[in-house]
Amino acid sequence: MSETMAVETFGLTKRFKTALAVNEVNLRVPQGAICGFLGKNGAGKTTTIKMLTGMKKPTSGEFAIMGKKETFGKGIRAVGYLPDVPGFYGYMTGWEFLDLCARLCNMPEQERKTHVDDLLKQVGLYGVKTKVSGYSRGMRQRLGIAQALVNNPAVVFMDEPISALDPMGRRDIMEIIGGLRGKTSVVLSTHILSDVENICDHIIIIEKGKIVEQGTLDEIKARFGHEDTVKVTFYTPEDCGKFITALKEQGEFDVREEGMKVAIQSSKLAPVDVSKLAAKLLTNGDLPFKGLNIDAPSLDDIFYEVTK
Amino acid sequence: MNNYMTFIRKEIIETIRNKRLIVLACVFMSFAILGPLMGRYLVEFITMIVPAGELDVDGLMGLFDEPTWVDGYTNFYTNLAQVGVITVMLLYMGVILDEKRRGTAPMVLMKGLSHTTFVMSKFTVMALTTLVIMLVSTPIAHLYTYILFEEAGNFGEMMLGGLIFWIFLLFIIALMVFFSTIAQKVSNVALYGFLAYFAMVIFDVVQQLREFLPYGLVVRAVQVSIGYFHEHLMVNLLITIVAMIILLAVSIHILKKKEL
Repeated sequence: MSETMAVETFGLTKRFKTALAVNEVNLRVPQGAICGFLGKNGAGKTTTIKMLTGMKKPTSGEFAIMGKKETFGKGIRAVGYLPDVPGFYGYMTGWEFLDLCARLCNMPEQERKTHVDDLLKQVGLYGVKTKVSGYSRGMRQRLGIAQALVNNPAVVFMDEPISALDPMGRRDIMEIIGGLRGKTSVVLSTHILSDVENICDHIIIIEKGKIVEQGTLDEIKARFGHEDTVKVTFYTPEDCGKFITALKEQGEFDVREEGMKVAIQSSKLAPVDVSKLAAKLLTNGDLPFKGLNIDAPSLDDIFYEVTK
Repeated sequence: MNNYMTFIRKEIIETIRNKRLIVLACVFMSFAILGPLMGRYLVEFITMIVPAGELDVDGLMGLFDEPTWVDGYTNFYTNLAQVGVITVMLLYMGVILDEKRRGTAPMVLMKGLSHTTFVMSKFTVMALTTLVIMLVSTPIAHLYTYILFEEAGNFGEMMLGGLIFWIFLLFIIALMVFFSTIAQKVSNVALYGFLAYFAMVIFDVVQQLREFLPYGLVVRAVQVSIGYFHEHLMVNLLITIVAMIILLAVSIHILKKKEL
């Protein structure tokens, strides 16, 4: 018997008046996974999440949460949702807001009080008496996570929870999300791939409304393992530019500039031969460089590859 | 029922902390005092404002009947029908739309709150708030009329008039709930609200329509306060209540179908 997925969709499609936002999506998120849901702006991440949380009506297709088929317009008790900019009643304290949410979930009084205290401790807001209107952005995201967990959901959807945060706030929120591992399934939509690589064990990449890659991080890296990248790091952008010009004179290469770094792939040459060629060009051109190495593909590389 | 009471509690806290209660109380109680005062001293006020010698006081006095306690009551209700109603419209125009725009509606609706409970608990608290304010401001208007004119109508009839005016306010609130559900911007809610208000005022000029439309309840409230029960009072009330129920039912239906 196949394992029940935390989230499973069957040809999920959403068409707006002029655009096909989500096109026949079949995604599978295993139970207990922290799943990075990746895609460029407008790829269909938010629309997919809104359909899976019952906020948008699919044009066609179906979806199941913990094996149970769900439909638009009926509350989905098994999910929690954190939007990119969570809304709160600014005149309430964090405790009052979570207590309201817990009451709406019909949680018994004694359990409710303990649960709300525990959630506030979990997100580091316990004892904060300030009204939500006085919260910083980071505090609002923490409270947003707490409200998404208030009903003890089997699956939590988080839509770009760290995009507007400073590095410290980002790290704090990622630690909280990482702490959910093993307790609940998480679908995390974000643009910050290094964070995804650090905490996600499962990846789904969506492009123009279609799923282009999904699986565990290891499975996906194995699929792209033959595409090792040669990377040369320079001290100045001028040297970077000179090197790229010289390289392009040697034949067809897939060249990508990442700041002071140049990433090279070739369909004709093996990575080791590309690195030899690069070394030759650096010596001939007398170009100072910081490093030359062959890297296994990072999530960044894979994302670039499948969405280009 | 649990969620209904929970959300009513939330709405009461919101009404108090967002100062809606205080604003409404200030406006309604001001008119409970100013209405009878203007009724009693209107001519005196005019003569105080216009410089001496530029006004024929005796001629002016001739234009007005000797003010009576009926003027105190009438001024109270007509002021509320204008500034009071506009205040209610301004305070409640974002009642549904603000929750959608702030993103709080999905948060609470996803926790198991039904769309019907969401709308009805809001309506209940708005109805209770305006009821409390009418129950406080109407006796003040009655007492002030008595103090200024040394006579007043029957207290029970004045209170009944206040309740009839409250039903008119409920219709206005239901109208704002409806506009707040269908509109995408608060400015549109305000526009629709004011257009509806002016339409009501314009239709009120037509005697045959006034007999039946919700705005006619303003005149009915004055009439009942002074002891006159118009033959179409019940029809007026019934039409207003049915219109209010339809507006709320349609709002809930639209909200259920809307994507968040």
